[in-house]
Amino acid sequence: MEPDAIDFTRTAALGDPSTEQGRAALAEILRLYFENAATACADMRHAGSPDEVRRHAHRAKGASGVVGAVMMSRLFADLEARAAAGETIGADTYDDLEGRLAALRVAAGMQLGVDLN
Amino acid sequence: MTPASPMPPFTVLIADDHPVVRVGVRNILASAPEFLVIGECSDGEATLDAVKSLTPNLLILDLAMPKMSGIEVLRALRANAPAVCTLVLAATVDRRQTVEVLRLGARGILLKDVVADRLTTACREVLAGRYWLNDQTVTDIVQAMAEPATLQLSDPVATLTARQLEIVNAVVEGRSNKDIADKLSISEETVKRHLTMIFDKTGMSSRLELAMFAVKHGIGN
Repeated sequence: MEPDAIDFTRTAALGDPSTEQGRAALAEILRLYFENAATACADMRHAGSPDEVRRHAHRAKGASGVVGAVMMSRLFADLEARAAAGETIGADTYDDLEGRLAALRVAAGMQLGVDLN
Repeated sequence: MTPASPMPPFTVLIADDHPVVRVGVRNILASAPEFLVIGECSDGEATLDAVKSLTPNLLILDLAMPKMSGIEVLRALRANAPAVCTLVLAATVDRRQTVEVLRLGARGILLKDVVADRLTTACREVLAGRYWLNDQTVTDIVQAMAEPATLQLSDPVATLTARQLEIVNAVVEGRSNKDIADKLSISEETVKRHLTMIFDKTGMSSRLELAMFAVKHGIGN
């Protein structure tokens, strides 16, 4: 598995990517995931405090784990730890995060053979 | 001869503030005929109300929710509501939290990154009266439950380690992470990890709040 891909071996119960029905189920939850993760990034970027960032990052980490977005889960976990330690996160971190999310969206769509936008 | 009637499904209430987690859990359980999802909640207060009104067989409960945390929901359930089998969902969980949720009556803990893999098995196990503890061994948990620091879980200061108390002390002194790392001869990353744990244990969300907490509890010089 590529590091920035969805680990479908961990998400078999959410849908079997080899069947049309499974792909549809996976596409539905992944669209919801990418929509929410993008909102989380925007909310963190405009957050008023590191604690607000920490809470958004924690939620996004959990959701990433559920859909098998392993790398995103690690990135949100790192962000959560930095925010918990009081660090103010710079715009470049959010730029990077949003870029990775966009790339993962394309990669996951290709993995499933569906458009996730 | 009358054919035996099929067992009615176990009713399940899902409580998590993230829609992706709720949809994921619902979809996974939909593929197992012995489960029937009868409700979904996105905050702690609504969860408490739903448990009382719907009386599910199983509550799948997130630890970090708005209005009331999962821990607070467990406390309230233990005090007021009819017994409900509870499986806790968490993005991350340490040994102390594991012990706390078990003491509050939960039957198991499942990490979100293995939900798709393990959810139905974990649900079956806890509904059968057994415990589900993710990858932590029973020995770990028994050991943690025997540690004096876990005996007073309502006292967050008692749960801080000696190193964490040193770090709180340094925060009270106004030191930066780098200063603390230099003073204690550890890396800044380690300081950050300790601070994350300290914030989780004390419920504080900033260095200022932590310093005020420390002064109130007599930590520091």
